[in-house]
Amino acid sequence: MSAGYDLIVIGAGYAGLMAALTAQQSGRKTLLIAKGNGGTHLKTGCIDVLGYHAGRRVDHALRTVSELISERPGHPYAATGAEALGAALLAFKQAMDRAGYPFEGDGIINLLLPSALGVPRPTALAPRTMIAGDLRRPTPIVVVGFDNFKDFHPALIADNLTAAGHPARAVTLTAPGFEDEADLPPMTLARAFDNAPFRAAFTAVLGPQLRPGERVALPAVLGLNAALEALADLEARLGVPVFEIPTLPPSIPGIRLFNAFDRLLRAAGARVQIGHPVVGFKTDGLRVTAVTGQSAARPKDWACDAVVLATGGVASGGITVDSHRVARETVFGLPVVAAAQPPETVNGMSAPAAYFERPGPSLPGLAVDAALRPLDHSGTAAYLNLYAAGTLLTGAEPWREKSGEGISLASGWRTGQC
Amino acid sequence: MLDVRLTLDHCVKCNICTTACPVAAVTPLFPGPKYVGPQAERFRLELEPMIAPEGPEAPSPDHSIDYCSGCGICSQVCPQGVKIAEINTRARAAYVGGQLPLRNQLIARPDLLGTLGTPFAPLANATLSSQPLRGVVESVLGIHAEAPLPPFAGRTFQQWASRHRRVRNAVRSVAYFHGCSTNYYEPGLGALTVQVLEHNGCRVIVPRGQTCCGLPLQSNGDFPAARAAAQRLVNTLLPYAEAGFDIVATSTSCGLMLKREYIEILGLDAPEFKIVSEHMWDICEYLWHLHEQGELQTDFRPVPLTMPYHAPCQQKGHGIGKPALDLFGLIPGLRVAEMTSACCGIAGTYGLKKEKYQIAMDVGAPLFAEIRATGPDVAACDSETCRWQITHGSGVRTVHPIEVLAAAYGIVDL
Amino acid sequence: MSSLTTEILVIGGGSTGAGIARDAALRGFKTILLDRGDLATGTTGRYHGLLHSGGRYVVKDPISAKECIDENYVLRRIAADCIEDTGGLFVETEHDDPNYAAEFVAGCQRAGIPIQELSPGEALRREPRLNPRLSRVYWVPDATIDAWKTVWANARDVQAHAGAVLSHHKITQLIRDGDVIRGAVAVNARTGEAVTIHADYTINASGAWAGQIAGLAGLPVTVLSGKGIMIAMNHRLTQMVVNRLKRPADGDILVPIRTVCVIGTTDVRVADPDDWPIEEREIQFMLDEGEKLVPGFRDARALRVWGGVRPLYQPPSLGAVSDTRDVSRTYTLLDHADADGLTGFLTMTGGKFTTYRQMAEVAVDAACRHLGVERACTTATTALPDSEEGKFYWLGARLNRREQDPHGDQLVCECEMITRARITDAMRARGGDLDDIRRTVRLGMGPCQGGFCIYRAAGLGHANGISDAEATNTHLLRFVTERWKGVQPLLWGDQLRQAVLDDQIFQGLLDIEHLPGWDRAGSEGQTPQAEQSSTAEPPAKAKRKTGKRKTASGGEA
Repeated sequence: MSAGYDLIVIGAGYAGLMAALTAQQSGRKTLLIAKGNGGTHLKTGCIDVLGYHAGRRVDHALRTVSELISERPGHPYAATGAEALGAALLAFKQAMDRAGYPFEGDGIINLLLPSALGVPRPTALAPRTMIAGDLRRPTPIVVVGFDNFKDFHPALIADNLTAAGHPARAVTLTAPGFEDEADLPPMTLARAFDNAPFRAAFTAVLGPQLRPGERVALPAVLGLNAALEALADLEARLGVPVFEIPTLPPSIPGIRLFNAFDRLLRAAGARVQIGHPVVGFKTDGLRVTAVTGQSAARPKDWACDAVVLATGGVASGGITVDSHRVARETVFGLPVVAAAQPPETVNGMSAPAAYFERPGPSLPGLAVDAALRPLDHSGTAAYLNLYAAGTLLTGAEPWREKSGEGISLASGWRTGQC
Repeated sequence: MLDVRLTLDHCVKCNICTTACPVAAVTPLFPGPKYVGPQAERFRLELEPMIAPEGPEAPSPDHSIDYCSGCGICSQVCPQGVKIAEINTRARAAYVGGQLPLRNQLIARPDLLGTLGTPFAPLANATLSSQPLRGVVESVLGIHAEAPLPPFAGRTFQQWASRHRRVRNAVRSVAYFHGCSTNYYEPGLGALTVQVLEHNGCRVIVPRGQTCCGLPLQSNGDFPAARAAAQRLVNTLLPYAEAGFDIVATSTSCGLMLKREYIEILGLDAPEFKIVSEHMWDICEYLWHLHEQGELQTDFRPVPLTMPYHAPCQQKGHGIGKPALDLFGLIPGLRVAEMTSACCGIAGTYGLKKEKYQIAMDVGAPLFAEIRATGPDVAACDSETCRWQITHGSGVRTVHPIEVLAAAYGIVDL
Repeated sequence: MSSLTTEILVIGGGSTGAGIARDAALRGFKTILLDRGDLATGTTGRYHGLLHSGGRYVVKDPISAKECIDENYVLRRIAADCIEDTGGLFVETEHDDPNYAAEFVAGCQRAGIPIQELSPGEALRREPRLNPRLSRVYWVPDATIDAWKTVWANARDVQAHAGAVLSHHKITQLIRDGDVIRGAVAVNARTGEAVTIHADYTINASGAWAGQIAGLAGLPVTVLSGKGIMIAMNHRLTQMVVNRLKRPADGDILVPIRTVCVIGTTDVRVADPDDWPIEEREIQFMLDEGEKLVPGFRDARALRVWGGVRPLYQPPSLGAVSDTRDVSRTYTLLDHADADGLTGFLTMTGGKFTTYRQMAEVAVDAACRHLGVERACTTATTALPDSEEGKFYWLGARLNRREQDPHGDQLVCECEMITRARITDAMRARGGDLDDIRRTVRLGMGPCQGGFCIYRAAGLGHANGISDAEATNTHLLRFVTERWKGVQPLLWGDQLRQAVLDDQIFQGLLDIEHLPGWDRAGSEGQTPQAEQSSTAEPPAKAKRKTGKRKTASGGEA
């Protein structure tokens, strides 16, 4: 009779999506409820597991994660465990294959892909649309950009790649059919690449400018709904490998990834409700019995047997810090592991050191037990059926060590099992 | 209203809203909700229309805001809680500055049009379906010749309600806010709504003298007139709310005005607005709520139809999930496909306008194709203007979810 | 060593110096305006932009008040393009002494400042966010002025009258020939090259550093540094300037300047104008004071905190000063010929931005006297470049420009609506240093604090041949890492969320930490610089210590 769910996942980033899919596919009636879109749309669209550790670039990601876990028991990977990470990556790849948006990489040895500044950047899994850019191959690169697309600078990328030992040159075109538009939005360009006539016009201009033995780098706008088709078509027409490089948000590859998860979730029978902020909850003793959404006229309860909190932490208000520097977790009021206070003065530290090496933890987050349940003030699970996943977990600097998606998928996968 | 502007502080410039905007997806005339919302708002002088130093005759800079359709999807996808659509609606009102062109003044007053057209329904409908006459209307008024204008019913829902004998032995009473569309164009929908509620033990009161909720006035930027309409409607509904009745609405857009937009966008914060808001229910929300209490009649016959369902943008804005889908799940034999395309394009009066009709059709094109691809018998959608647009764009007859329930109860054949 | 010859050398490119140079140039003197950094990076570039009506000073410092209102009118005439006619309010809150109002009214009358009393209801209707418990309100002709734009307008007039502007040149020596100063030696901070400037007359307008410059001539000039911090809030909470109706103290002004509003300020004596902290308690204090003017202030988004030092001249007769708030805000001309027997040199110090033009007039008059020529000042009646039409700045200007032509150019900085053309023009004129460009066009000064636009602008500088890849990388890294200093004190609320996203962009996505050629080993204060001149030649690479100027990332509001 009740419309209650077996599991409610709060938050639609990598962790929430993975938790919801894992749960729904194992037969649990799942609701994914979120304030809005997030993580997927703002990052590279790749899956980072661990890119940098102890000041050095990581090649063997999974092995280094194990080292990391033993060195830093407070790191989110210590909470999820390396095994869950491996299983999550496998489950992710299988899901994306089914969704028609396959990822490459084995999750064990890192790929090396160029950033939009031409910096070789390690990552574990990448969509097929990016894989031809692996810098462990020696093929010279021609970086192609559009003078009316401002979020990509081919000449700079090419120069920096060359300086890093990866020969590259640049070509800048005007996007065909958009000659009158000086400020082309990324979605418009991505939708254009979905269309065969545009691709034909584009390759007709680019083709004659290619040199033998090159591979072509484009900004990550290689189609929105038909990216694989676009990739295959371009490679066929140009006769060379083609790949895209993730650039400033909004991330087209991330949007594709979100859409893929959305398709899978719906096909499996899950409910997805974006635009539904969660502001509270109901309990029965130490069990959460419902989450409360902020609907238009009055709060609405959604009954559930368990909850995964994947609200992303500070980035989008899952944790807030007010002007008195007090941090709060905004749904359940869970105790927050505070960030280190900024120094009283701004003297003494040179800018680069201060910027890259910050006193940790640099962001407030939640501490969890072995089952990934957030802790209360006494250090035990706050609620028996409440779990936390993703960027909400304290103990990592994912932007620096390049670990965000791995943490999210591993913790999402594990909490989706509970 | 001040609170809405303050939310611009939450914007981190991610452009997620722009990626979801159905209008920006189809036309370069609209630079996107982030641009006209939290970004441009920092360049606006609050509370005053933008008057350039050249003087009041100089145009306000905010040309782009006119292409915002007000669908509200931007606010629904924003990870930071910026009330983008609300900021945009306010900005449009400032841009318009109370100077609506005649066309907008007309189409923003469906109750006026309804009152004028109903006694002359046959003639009015003949005009609406006459191509040459629609051509004249387009050149004179700027309403697109092919825009889906619904025919007048000739007899209003109020007339039906005044003749309808209320049931006895009801378990509860509920008030019905029918809105302009039910009253003048779809009185049959109103009748079915009453019957479905009565089937579920409700005594349905149709308050007399209900007037327009004012949404088209708000969307077209005439806030003073919208506020006046809001006050009139709330005054009519207030006694029922104060008596503890729940008030149901079959139009998700009008219902949202009463639930939230009067307070958040029009800035009407007198107590009566809050009281009525708290008693407002969307009809499917209400019926599902009865079901959660164990009080919904579930004597459904099989309805063996393939039926795509589109949740209107404003329905999503209610934040209540999709109770229509939940209800459909109770009906045996019904094969429902939840549409994933975001918006049908009509956005109330937006898609009626000559200069915006094609944009609206382009916005809706993916939805129309998705609906056709399901091989449907009939489609379902909670908002009247969306239904008319979907029928127009896809060729598929589109009904309110209540009609499906009525069919399942055996009250009507679909 | 190269050499230049001029008639008047002005040391210090803030408002005072730029005003003096312009005045001199308009009087037909061959003039050089010089600053150790970019123009207006001292006090001028760091103040909130209030064009005083003088109401703030009528009780405590009536001379300064009169100067302010007089110059307020003059600047409205000559610098309209730099000024937004916001108007201002003095509001009496429940925290303020009700007896002050009468003194205020009388003081305004004496100083000739027009005021108008508004009812609290009327004031709240016009400014609905104000403290509803305000009891008395007076309107005054406060306005806001873009300090950067004003300084550069003055500087451009210098250039238009056969003068020169030498930014990034540090004075190492004053040329003393017996009892005469005949110019100075300066070092180009970017190339390391020294240049001798022979001048008939040298004017020291270096503000808080005036004592250091005078010291190069062996003169004991004491200029105290009164540090003040300010916080820019992300959007205009009020449309008019709002002052507390009380004796002037800290945190009692809220200034809407362009797209932001600024709460300020403090006044703390510091020993070194280049090295002072921004303290947490100062920040909290500003927020508390903001809350008194606008309830809910703490919940609004704090965008940037920065500070500047006021130059407060301490005459030898005054003795020890305990509270720099008590030092007069009026200006002082030190005629070293009269006072110290040293000719060819004068110092103009103290004062306020609002009175810069008058300070300049007095200084150039004195120089004329010493040079034995009679040339009249015309600055009060000659409009600055771009202000000829007398049209005030209005907030919607950039939005309006973009709306007129939405497809013809790219918005590189979306927050502040800056086009590609504007940025590339600025880069061609000033080089690829993104901090210079930031000051010139406000790049990266909006809510995203460069998260999106800095990558785009860096790419433009490279694509247009202004900076090679190495220089571009350096500019980008420096911008981001220097900016962090100003961001760090404000890591709460919405700006913290932005910082998280910006980290994700710069480090997570672009991976700036691993850009090639970035010498992170030099993290002890050494920063490799590959600066690019506007001639777009490959730069000379110079390793240079970052200055002792450990301020929060500077710049005007």
